[in-house]
Parts: sequence; C-alpha cells; structure tokens
Amino acid sequence: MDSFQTVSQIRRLLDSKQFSAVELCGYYLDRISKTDKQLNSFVAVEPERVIAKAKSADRAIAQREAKYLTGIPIAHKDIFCVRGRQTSCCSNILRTFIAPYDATIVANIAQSGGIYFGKTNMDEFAMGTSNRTSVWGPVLNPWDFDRVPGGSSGGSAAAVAAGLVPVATGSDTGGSIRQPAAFCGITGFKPTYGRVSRYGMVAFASSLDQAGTLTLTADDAALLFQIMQGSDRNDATSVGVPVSKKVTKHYPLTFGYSSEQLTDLNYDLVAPIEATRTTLERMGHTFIDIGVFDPDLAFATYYVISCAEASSNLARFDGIRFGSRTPSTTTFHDLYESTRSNGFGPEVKKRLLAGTYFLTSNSTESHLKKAQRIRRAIFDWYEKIFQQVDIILAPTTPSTAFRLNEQQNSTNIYRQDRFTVPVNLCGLPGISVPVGLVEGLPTGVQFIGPRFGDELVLDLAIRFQQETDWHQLHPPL
Amino acid sequence: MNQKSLTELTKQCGFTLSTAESQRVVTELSAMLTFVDQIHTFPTDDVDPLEHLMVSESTQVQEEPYSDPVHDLYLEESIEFIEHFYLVPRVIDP
Repeated sequence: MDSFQTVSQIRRLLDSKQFSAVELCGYYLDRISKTDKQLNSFVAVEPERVIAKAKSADRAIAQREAKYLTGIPIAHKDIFCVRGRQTSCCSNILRTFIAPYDATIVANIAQSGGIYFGKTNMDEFAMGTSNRTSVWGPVLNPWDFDRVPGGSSGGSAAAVAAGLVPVATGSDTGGSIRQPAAFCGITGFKPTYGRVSRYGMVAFASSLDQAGTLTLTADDAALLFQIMQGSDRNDATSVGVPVSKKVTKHYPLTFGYSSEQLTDLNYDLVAPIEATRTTLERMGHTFIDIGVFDPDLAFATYYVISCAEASSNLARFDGIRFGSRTPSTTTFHDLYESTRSNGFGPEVKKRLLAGTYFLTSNSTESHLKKAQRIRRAIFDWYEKIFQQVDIILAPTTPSTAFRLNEQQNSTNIYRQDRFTVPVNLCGLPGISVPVGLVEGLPTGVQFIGPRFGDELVLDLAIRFQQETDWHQLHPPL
Repeated sequence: MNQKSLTELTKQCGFTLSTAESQRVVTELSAMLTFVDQIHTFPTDDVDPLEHLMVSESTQVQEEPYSDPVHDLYLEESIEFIEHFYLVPRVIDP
C-alpha cells in the first residue's frame, strides 16, 4: 500500500474494493507503531476504536452508502474537542481534561464519514513555532530527525508528511498551519477568518485563531474545506458563505509580489520563490510589485494583540472548572496559584505575563489600542492592494527547519512568523505549498487571497500543483 | 521590566516563578518590550482601533420563563423577584 495517497485516491480505491477501510486503517496504525516512537507526532491513538469504525465504514461502502470521507482516517490537532476524549492542548493544566462535546469541525468531518484516528502533538496552547513546548515532548521533523517540524501544528504536519495519516486538522493564529507545512513539505491551508467555526477549538487569541488543514495536496485541502466550512450557531463570528465550485475570477491572474521581501530570506530560499514566480508566469499570470508592509512592525502588532487576548482567554484555567488541580491546598487562592504555576509551561507563562502587562491600565492605550490601530492600518493596506491584484505571492518562512537544539532568543524565534502574521491580522485566506528542497529540507511559498477568496486561493494552488511536482516529494522513512 | 514589576504581574496572572525563571523572564520580556516599542514609531492619528474582524451577531435566545411547581416554589420563597425571575441577593449577611 502507498503511504502517500491523497483523499481522492483513497476514495476511489476504497469504492473499487482495491482494499478495505480495515486494511487501510491497519496499515496506517502499523506505520504509526513503527515510526512514531521517534517522531512523537501523535499524543493519542485508539487502535481498537479505529478498527471498529473502519468495520462499519466497510459495511457502508458495501451497501453503497459511503459518504466522501467514509473509511478515511483523519487526525485532529489536540486543540480540538472530541467528545469523551482527552483534549490537553499539550499542556499540563489540561492533562486530565476530557471534552464533553465535539468541536464543530470534528462533528462535520465525522458526519462526512471521516474516521477519527487520534490526536496530534502541538506547542502548548498553540504558542510556539517549533513544537518544542508540548508537555508530551517535542515532535521531530520527518525529513531530518535533528530538526523541528515547525509549530504550533507540528504534530499534524509531521504525521501527514511522514505518511502516518492522509489528512490532519490544525489551527493557525499567526502561521501555525502554514509554517509547519512549509517545514515538512506539505500543503497547509488557513481559511478566511470566520469561514470555519471555532466552536470547540481551545482559544488562544480569539480574533486571530482559525481552524484549517494539513494535507498532501491542495486538492485535498479544497475537499476538506468544503466539509469543514459554514456558519455555526455556536460561533457568533462564523460566516455562512456558499462554497463556490466555479471560481468567478477569470484567469490569468494578477499577482502582487514584493522583491523587497526577499532581502529578509535566507539566501538559499530566494531561488525557489523566484522559480515559483517563473512557473506562474509560464502559466500566463502577471506580476506587479506591491512593496511590503514592514513585517517587523506587523509582528510587533501581532505580539501585543495575541498576548493580550491569550491573557484573557487562559484566565479560565484555574483548577476549578477544567482539567488538572493541584491537591493539598488550603485556600482558594493557594489552589488557583498552585494549579496555574504547575500547569503552565515557561513559554505560556511568558506570553501571559506580556499580555497581562499590555492589559494593565497604564499600557492599554499605549500598547493594546495602539496595536489595534496599526492592525487597522495593515488591514486597509491589504484592502488597497487587493483592489489591484487577485493574489499575493509571498514566502512562508524566512528559513528552512532549524535544529531541535538550536538556541535562539525569543525575538528571533517569534520572527519565524513574520511572513504569516499579517494574514491573521487581516483575516485573509492563505495556503502554503511546497516549492522545493534546500539542502535536503523542504521550503514553501504562500498564496494569499482577499477575504472570502478561499476558493480562488485553493483553485490556484491546485493548478500550481498540476504544473509542479514538489508536493510529490516525501521524506525517506 | 524589572523584578518588582514582574512580581506584580505574576500576582495578577495567578502563578509564581522560581528565582531562576524570574531572572530569565525579566531578560526575555525586556527584550520583547523593546522590540514591541517600535509600534510607537508608526503614526496612527485618526485611525480607529480594529478590535475584531467580524461584527458578531448574538445567537443567544431570549430567556423564556415557564411554569413548573419547583419554579413557582422558588418564587414564593424568594426575598425579592422581578416578574418571573428570582432576584439574587446582593449582600449575604453572615
């Protein structure tokens, strides 16, 4: 059996009885048991339950009652609630939390027949770019076990890239789907803010968080998007926009591109992005230079807003309502302080301290309100750009995957997200697609669309992957 | 950021840091705050803050009181109520 089959290929093979869902799931479970001891991409897998679900999928296929995802294994990032299952957000404070309900995207995927395969590792509370802050230990990059897979959806990215599961969900607050996708050589799609419900996704920064997918191809991302998207009465910020199967824009497209941005890239990464531009030009698209909104300023803005929102959101983890509680405390105050001290890791604590600082009365106007004003300026800048162009081509990351033991200061680590955070600040759809290997490590570029231009972004990525074969390269495991 | 302001912040956050952690966090947060300070170089006169991308619509439904024996009993026993709703006492005298 091929470890790197897409959802569409698996669908055809299941329906034509080339193999059964039980055989398929057994194959992936076997790969996980052999490979994931080192990789550490999964934090929970339930083989017996998976095989039971696969048996009922086989019955549905035999009775010609299969839905599109019937029999297809799908892993969920450990940030999504799955009813009756541990949802730890890879934090000590939620180590014992069992979700009492399904996240909307989990329910939508289950209704389409997808088999919940297990939970994937992530940075604690999605705060990280290297998947080194998980309470369950770091995830390794399947291309090079000495390197990080990116984060925070590093477990999902590594699992898909290693052929342990064909599809995994992720969440993207500042690049947490697109950056690990680029580091692991797969396709990572972050939809427009609001197109996919956030209900049941543990909140980090509510005005930035968005659920999405990590897949082998853009075709699979488009398929999953159709299933996951839609308005949800449980999420007041979700938006119901009918999925457009025909992209109304007429090809060829006008691309926005900034040669100035290339100065921020490691030298080796310039050639792949220039080659991408050449490919797109060969496809008939045209390019105009759009300049760049200062990425450091955008990142500083993102940092203030995301930390402030995290400080507010994570105040609910007090040892009373959710997850773990430190025993043997005498007063309520002791219980609260002891639980949070033992429950949160160093990175989360640091961001909560920063966020609390930005929310203090002295800093609200000077930092938070100021950052929100700059956010509007960035939003307006992109709105103006999208009056001239259809899509923006941009790098996803400034480097390839860095070493697991590489010590960088916080500012440099955070700046990994400098090309991805503007997309979250403006709620835009963005997809990272692989565009080559640099010294044996994958690299990716982003196609960024206007708000609600998800279908165009996906359609373009599908067409791009019909012209290139970088997405067909897989790590030698 | 100094040790004193960090102590105040940890209190507000509801957790503690070890001495070693505190020293590291003071250094790292100071560096981040210096980096963040560049936001003050960008002019934002007459720009409204963008707090959220969506104008959210409330999906909560109006509360609808209904009659049942327990509900009626609560109302009879309550010190104060408004229409069909029990009014929670603001001060509980020990």
